This record gives sequence, structure tokens and C-alpha cells, in this order.
Amino acid sequence: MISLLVANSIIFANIIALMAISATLALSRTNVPNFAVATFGTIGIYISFTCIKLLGLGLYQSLIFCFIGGGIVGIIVYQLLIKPLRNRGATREEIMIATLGLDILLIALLNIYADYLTRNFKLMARDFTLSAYDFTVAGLSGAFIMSTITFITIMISLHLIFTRTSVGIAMKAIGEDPLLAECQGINTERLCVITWFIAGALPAVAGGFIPIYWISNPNISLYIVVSVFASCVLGGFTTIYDAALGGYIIGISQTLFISHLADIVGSWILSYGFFIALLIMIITVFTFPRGLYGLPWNRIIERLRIQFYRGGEG
Amino acid sequence: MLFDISMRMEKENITVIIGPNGAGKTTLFRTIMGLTSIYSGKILFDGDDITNMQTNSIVKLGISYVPQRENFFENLTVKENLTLGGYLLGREEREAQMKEVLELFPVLARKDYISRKASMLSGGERRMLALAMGMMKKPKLMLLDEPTEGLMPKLAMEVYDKIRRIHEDARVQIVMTAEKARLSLELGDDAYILSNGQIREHKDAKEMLKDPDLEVKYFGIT
Repeated sequence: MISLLVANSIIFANIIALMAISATLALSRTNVPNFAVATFGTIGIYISFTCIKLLGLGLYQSLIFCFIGGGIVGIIVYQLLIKPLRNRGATREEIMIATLGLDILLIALLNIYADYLTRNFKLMARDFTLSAYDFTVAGLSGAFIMSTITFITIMISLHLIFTRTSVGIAMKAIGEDPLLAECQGINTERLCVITWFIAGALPAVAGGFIPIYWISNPNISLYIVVSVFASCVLGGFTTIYDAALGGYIIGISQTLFISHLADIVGSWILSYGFFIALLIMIITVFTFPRGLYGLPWNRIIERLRIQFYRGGEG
Repeated sequence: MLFDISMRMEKENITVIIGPNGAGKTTLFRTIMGLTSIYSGKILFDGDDITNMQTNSIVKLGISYVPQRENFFENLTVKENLTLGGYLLGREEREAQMKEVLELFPVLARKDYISRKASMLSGGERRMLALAMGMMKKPKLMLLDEPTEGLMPKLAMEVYDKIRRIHEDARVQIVMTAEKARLSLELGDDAYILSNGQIREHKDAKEMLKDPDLEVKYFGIT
């Protein structure tokens, strides 16, 4: 049986990995470093909260609305912020700063929305959890089962889209050379919109799992964003697979390591879990700055194979 | 900057545009493709006004542009590049076209090549891939920007041979710019000399070949 600690670390890894995939997609396909990615997750939290508390939907039914709602937010952000800035000749760095501003704006709007829910519907819209709505099967929490199924389903879907469909291949092409992509007859504008739908939908779905796992409030993204970007840096900001792997390594190591540390120094350390992610990010930047994607995997595998055979002979 | 440009390119011809570096050859193609804005004048294709149209809409009309550099996606495989070349075709039509194109470019069809990353290809193979991507669109007109630039003469001849076959077998109108003036004029029907953004001369390609002052004109010394 999987221990509660391991199960929780996998839930966290699923959440972080989905957000890291979103940030990687936004950067590698549309050349936008999206610093608001974790707050897209908070939007998912509040879509889920609204669906359950106001519309009376089930916890996991609300994920569909998180996906659609997050996707729509992604499109709005692209149309109202990214595209106009690009049309005015903004550089990548300028757009990055704009997403930081967007992050602050979204957090402010979420705070207003939380207050609105509290005043008008007498709901506790801050520091809440939705764990009471979760189910348990054979000792495993619904959040563990559903977040893992969601993560695997999304990974398989994205893999098939990016390898089997011309639209998916075109999305990769836009990331590499948008003008050449346009010369192939690709409507790059339309594909950027689709990419931003996905980039908005994934963190919102991941956000739907956060209140089952954590006490949530409109500012929770501030505690998650470091882990998400550490995952992207570790992955290499290039492919969805590396982002997912980065997310898993950061998510699991952060949860497990900080829990063991709490056993030694006390539970106060639990609030500083993101330091582990930060530490891994710093080590990555200084030792292999291109992340897992940039590692010479062929050489590493060859070396491991030699080691293995030598061990066998010994 | 281009100015005072008036050109008419016939469907049944291979039109060659020669001129020194910086003459405006690439700008001319980029303007046709809607990648560079035009301030006055008109560009007509098959009777349709395509001036300042969106690039992907121009491609839909049947114009395929193969740029001089960065003419394929390095991080994608050969097959993915070809798929993108035929992006506007339906799945079945694209597969049928890929089969035809690979018959014309057998080097790309090899099992170990088709799934190889395009960045692993040699200089000549890269040109073949770029041409093959252009052909995947089932174009009416191909704009080839210096298709043999930087290639050894033997490889350049191979590329010219492919261009001739594309024109003759697939009946595609070709307009190309060229660095190797004499080689390209041998292939062409119609020729323009472009210098400092202006047309200096327009002649039958074979006639231009006989011109003893070709090199002087070609290098823009008048």
C-alpha cells in the first residue's frame, strides 16, 4: 500500500508537472515566459470552489469547468495582452514583465472575487479546503487516483497531438520559426490561440486538485510558482516530457525531503518546502543550465551500460 | 528597398532573377509573400490582387516560397517537415503527395532519413528537403531564393536538375534568384537583372547568357 506521504507527494508532483507543462508550452511554442502560470492554477481553485459551493456540482465534475474556464482565460490573456504587445514590437523580456504584472492583477481580482463570495453568499472563500468532497478507494484518496489519471491522460493526449497531428507538429514549428511556419500556409495566429487555450487549461485543472490537498486562498500561487519554475528550469523549458519529469522530480523531492526534515527540526519547516525547489533550480542553473533536455543522454546511457557490464563481469 | 519594379512572369517559364548581394532579390520574394509591406503598386497572381495579403493566405492560393536560409525546421524530423510542407492538404492527399515527392527526392525516403532530425542532414540534403517541402504544397508557382547558394558545383547541378523536373514533370511555374548566374541562366527561359532595388535588364535567359557584359551587369557595375 502506498503511504500517505508518498501519495501526497505524487498528488503535488501531478499538480506541479501540469503547471510546468503549461509554462513550457507557452515559452517553447509562443515564446512567452508566463509568470502568471501558478495564478492560472488559483483560477482553477476558484472555478472548482464556485462549481461545488454555488452550482452544487461534484468535486471531479468541476474539473471539466476548470479546463474550459482556464482555457478561456488563456485565450483572453493572449488576445488582450500578449498579441497587442507583440504587435507593438515588445521583446520577450518586456512580455515577461507584463506577465508578472498580469500575475499581480489576477491575484487582486481573485481576492476581490473571494470577498464577493463571502459577502454575497456567506461562503468561507479564504483558507478553505475541499477535502470533505473527496472519496477514498482501498485506502487511496480520490485526489491521488484522479490527479494521476488526469496527468497520464493529458500527457498521452498531448503526446498524440504533438506527434500524430499536423496541427500539433505545426505548433512545434511555430515555436522554432513562426515566419517559416507562416510560409507553410499555417495560420500561426490561430495556433497561438489554441496553444494559449491549453496553457490556460492545464494549470486550471491542476488548480482544481489544490484545495483537496492544501488549505487554499487567493494568494496560494505565491507558494507554488517557485516549484513550477524550478520544474521548468530542471526540465529545460523545451519539451513537455522534460517539463513533466522536472515537475515529478521537484514535486516528489520537495514533499518527501521537507517531511523528513520536519521530523528532525520540527513542523515549522513545512512552510519552507519551496526552498528545496529553489535549491534544485540553483544547482541546475550552475551545473547543467539547459536542464534535463540538454543533458547528453546518449553518452550517459552508454556510460551506464559500460558500468553495468563491468559490474556483471565482477 | 525596391522601387520602380515592373515584372511579368509567365506560367510556362522558369524565370531567373540575378543580381549582386543586396540587390533586393530576397526583398522581392518577401514582398510577394506578404512578409515585407509594400507602400505603392500591386502584386497580381493569376489575376488576383495579393498585395499585402497574409502570408498563409498567399500560400493557399498556390504560391510556395523556399527561402534562402532557415528553409526547414531543424528540430523536427524529415517526415514532420514534409508534413508541414503539405499542411494545407487533407490527410490522404498529403500522404499521396508525400509519396510522389519522395519519389522525386529518393535520398529523403531512406528509412534512416525519414525519421531523422532535419538538423542532421548535410548541406545538399537540406536543400533537397527545402525543395521537397515546397513541392508538398502542390504549388502553381514556386519562388526559390538562391536554391544552390553555398553548394559544390556537382550538388548545385543536382538541385538544378530537380528544379527542372519539378517544372517539366509537375508543371510548376518557377521563379528563382541565383548566385551562380551562368548555371541558372542555362536552366531558365526568362531572365531579369536586379541591382540596387531596380530592374536593370529583362531578356530571354539564353540571350542573356551570350551577353559578353553579363558579369559586369550582374555585379551591378553599369
